[in-house]
Amino acid sequence: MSGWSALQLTEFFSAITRAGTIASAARIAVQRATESTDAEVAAVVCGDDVLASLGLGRDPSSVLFTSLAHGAGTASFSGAGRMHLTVHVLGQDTSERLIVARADEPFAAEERQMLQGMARVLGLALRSLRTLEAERQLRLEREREALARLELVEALERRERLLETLLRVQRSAHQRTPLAEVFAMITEGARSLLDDVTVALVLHGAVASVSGGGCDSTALAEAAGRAMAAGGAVTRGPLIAAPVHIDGAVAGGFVIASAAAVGLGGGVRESERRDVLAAFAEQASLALTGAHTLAAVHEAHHDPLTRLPSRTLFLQRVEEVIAADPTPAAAALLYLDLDLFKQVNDTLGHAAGDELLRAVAGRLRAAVRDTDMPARLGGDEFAVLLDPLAHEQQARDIAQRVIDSLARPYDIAGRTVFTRASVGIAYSGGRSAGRLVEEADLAMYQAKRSRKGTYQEFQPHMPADLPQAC
Amino acid sequence: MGAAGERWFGVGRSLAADPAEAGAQACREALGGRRAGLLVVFASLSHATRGMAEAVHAEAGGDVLMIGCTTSGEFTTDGRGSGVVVNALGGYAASVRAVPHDSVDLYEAGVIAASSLDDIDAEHRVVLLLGDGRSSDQQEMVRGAYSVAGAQVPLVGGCAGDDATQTGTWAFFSSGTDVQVLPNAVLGAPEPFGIGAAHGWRRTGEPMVVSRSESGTIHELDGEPALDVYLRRTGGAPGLAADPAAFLRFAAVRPLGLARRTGEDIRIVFAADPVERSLSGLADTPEGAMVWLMEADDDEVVDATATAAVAAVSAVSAPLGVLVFDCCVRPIALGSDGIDLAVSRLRDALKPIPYGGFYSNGEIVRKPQAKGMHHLTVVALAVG
Repeated sequence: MSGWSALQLTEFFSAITRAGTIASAARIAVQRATESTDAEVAAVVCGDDVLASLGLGRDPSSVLFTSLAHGAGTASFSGAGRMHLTVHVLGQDTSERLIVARADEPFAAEERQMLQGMARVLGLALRSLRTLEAERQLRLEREREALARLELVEALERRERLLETLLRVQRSAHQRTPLAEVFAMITEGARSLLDDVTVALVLHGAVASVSGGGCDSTALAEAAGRAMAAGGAVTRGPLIAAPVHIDGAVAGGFVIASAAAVGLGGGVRESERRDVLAAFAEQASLALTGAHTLAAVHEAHHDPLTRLPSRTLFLQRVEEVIAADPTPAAAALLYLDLDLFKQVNDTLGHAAGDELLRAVAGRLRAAVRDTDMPARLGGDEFAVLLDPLAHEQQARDIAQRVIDSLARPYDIAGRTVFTRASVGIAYSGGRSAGRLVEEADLAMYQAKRSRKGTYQEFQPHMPADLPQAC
Repeated sequence: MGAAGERWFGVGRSLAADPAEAGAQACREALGGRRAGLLVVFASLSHATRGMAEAVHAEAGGDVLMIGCTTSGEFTTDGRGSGVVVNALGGYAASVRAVPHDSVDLYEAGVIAASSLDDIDAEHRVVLLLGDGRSSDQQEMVRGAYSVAGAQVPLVGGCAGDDATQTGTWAFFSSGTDVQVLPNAVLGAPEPFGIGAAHGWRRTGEPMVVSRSESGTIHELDGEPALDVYLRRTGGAPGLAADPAAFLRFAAVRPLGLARRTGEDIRIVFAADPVERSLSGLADTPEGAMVWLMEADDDEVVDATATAAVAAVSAVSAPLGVLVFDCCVRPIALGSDGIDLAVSRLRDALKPIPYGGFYSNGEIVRKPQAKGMHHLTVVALAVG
């Protein structure tokens, strides 16, 4: 599994917010919960009623579902046999549950976390829809006073804002917004929904993001620690906290300090605060889990030192480009070798050498176009795929720009350091990616041999054998 | 319901120019003098006439259940072509429903379709769905059918084709033709039915996030105009989108895959808007989803037809016949030689089991590990 779960939750958000009735919201929930986990059976249960069920035919006995308690395990369904089970409550103060069952294997931590997120969103949507229905009822009856109606509308608006805020956070998390910004969005989002509160996200004992002022970080970290130790939401005085997870393991806590903690009068209902706490703690968990997965995918294809694409990813891309357009010189490949790098490494040490490589990578990125792909092939050797290419002069211009950029002095370990790049250029057309790299390498060698710090284009007459040390 | 020895499956094909004559010939060949309980008819647009449907029905004695739909080409052991293919089944418990999908939504259509299950009392059952690939979201129909069928009854089928012309599809039911009907059937037998699915594609490169989309249109990938990202990642020429036919040929073999728990859901990109810089797919690609570019070895994609059929057949102890639903974009992706090779490999793999198949606008299989609508995929149903 790789990052699919948080994204499924986003799809779930989009679908559930379109539901206009309690029945349709419950129906969407069982559909999406089964489809996203390849499960066969699901139900939404409210007390002794089944709001929606899927997988056991049209009208299965409600006892099949209402007898299942919160947690994970197995259960037998008549006709469908024994299945792995996971049951999630929809909110803090409700007996409503989302039940999902699957035959082939137990639900993994990531899946349970995702389903808990779905359950929470469904719970909020159901409450919002009930408020809406109640409001409609009130309008029809015209019996309640204006103030009561106003309160209901306000409660409804808060619910809607909560769902909208959650959705916005989800989208940002998946658009690879820097994690610090996502955290700030989560704490600020929660704060904006509640009156006079301080909201904090604590990770590994330290406050990672805080919105609102007036509560010291030690108290926030302690509250998070209590929630982590308890494995669930805890309340102490005006502080409530819930644990945050990464891939199912406890990693920190989400804390809401109400107005009383900061000496102001609090006016928000306790149940609402707990709903917001639970929903946003799950958001933080999902953002963290998703970020870890995306980082892992990125890691696999990038050089850890320079963050440039690795040789494997680079060659794959070159293959794709030359396969897509076999026209001669539709693309070009630059092969770079740094002169004087060995001296820097030998005289200033490996750490300085690494710093130089990182600086070179940064300048290389800046010197090429957005559509080009720079890569580190290993050691002090870099390459750039130039795609698309209008004409060969364009490749020469970019090669010269790279050479000029890399030749500017570097400030490394408190000293001014110089390096130069010798560049070989090879043009695409009727050759494999491996052969194109070889040709650019040969041209680079020619440049290095004739005049360091210049470029050479590959010519068919160039000797095929390179000396071992150049 | 017949015992094992009494159940049979026959296939007939005709490429005769006259639709009614082709229908009668194909039906005669499929029946081989036997009396069928259910006919499943696949016909190209050129042969989709009321006369053809009536001729098929009459040839089978005029008192037989019949469902069918138009195609983007059919195939049998005789090869592929554009005419009429009749699959005849005898000895099975069968029930059919023609769902008027102009009067109900697709979810409700699925509910009604699977309600045929009420008519069939058998140890093993399967719901055969022939959807309309041009309708907005066929997954809704599958969801509706699943709400009735549940985990115990697999759903399988394909969506009607229109020779990839996007002009219109037709359904055949009993003795008529109709555009507003979703034909479907439930089969029952004492032996299990076999289902197979295969596509042969795999993900390549780094994932992208669908940062803005609406229905089948993808506006942005990774926060950039989707067309720009797609062309850059695939190496497509910048002007490609200006030529719709060239773009379709290019994009047919460069689909997107949506991240799912077990692998990817394939989404075909079939058009681009050079002004909006957006991409159009045959099915919804939801905002927030993570997608990969998909690639394939030609050989694996060619083999998908045989792989799906063999998987279906191997789940049945004594297979009598196979229905195959093969994506209509695959012939575009594989080219004429490639799709001929796929058909000949299918024939070699199934010999001597008869089969009838068509090129569909979406393939349906709902069972564990498969959530419903599929694309660029081959789905097979084996009966025994």
